[in-house]
Amino acid sequence: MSSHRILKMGGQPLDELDELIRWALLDEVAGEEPSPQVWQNIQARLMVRSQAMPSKPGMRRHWRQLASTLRAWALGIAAPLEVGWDSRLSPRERSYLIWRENLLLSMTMASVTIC
Amino acid sequence: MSLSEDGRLISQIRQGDILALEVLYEKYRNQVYRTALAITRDREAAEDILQDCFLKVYTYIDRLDGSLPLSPWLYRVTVNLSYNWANRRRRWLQPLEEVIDCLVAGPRTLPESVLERGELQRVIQKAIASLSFEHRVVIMLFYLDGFSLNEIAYILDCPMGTVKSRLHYARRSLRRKLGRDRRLSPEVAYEFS
Repeated sequence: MSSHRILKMGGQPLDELDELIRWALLDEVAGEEPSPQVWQNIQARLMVRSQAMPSKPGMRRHWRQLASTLRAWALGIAAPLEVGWDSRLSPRERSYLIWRENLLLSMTMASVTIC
Repeated sequence: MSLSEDGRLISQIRQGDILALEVLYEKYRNQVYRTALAITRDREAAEDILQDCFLKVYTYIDRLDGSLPLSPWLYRVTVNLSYNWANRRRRWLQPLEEVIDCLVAGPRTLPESVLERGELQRVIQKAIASLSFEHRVVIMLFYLDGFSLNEIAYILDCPMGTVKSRLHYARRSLRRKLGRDRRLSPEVAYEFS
């Protein structure tokens, strides 16, 4: 909006007073610029705000559920294809799978024993 | 519907893109700063207002309509922040500032022949500064930023008739103040009926 259109007020062309006002105002602020510090302050404030804002418990739970679902899908897809765990999974996920398989095995054994 | 550049930036900021906010800041910082400076006549206050203005952009980004120009909304925030600043300042500083003004202002004995650009400018700026806040803001938005009466009505959130009236009375007041100054041409003092 810095460019100035032809000023008119109520259909009346503006006069010397208007020119003087415009000239004085433009001259007063011409070349004025904010210091670079302003943007740095904005960034800092946004950073503080994002750190101070705790994630909502509901959201945290939602992300946790989503992560475990995705993991389950990944394992479900990888297992029937017999994809080598070494290349696809992290050591932590591998140990989790081993633990899960052991648990399933022991439960099966237990149920067989009971029967 | 194709989004404007501002609209694209707004949707990027909604995704948490700070770089998009920086682009928006670079685009509007001088306009916002100069308007705030013209209203407050205080560099530090103008920088604070600029900072708060863009923090508000980030805070209220979900409420902004990307299909509309951002500029009037930014000016609305700028004027509101300036208004808050002026209110706070009025309580504390104005009486002191008036005394300082009286002490600093030199004797007005300059002959007409030595009327210089800087002096004339100072006279006009002082006359504008002496207007009420509402009148001064309308003057800034109309003359400095070149907004139409309609746009000013949106920025100030008031009817266009109010803007017209404020502009009329502000100009009349300036004409009287400047008309009293014999260094200015008689045409300035002439008032349309």
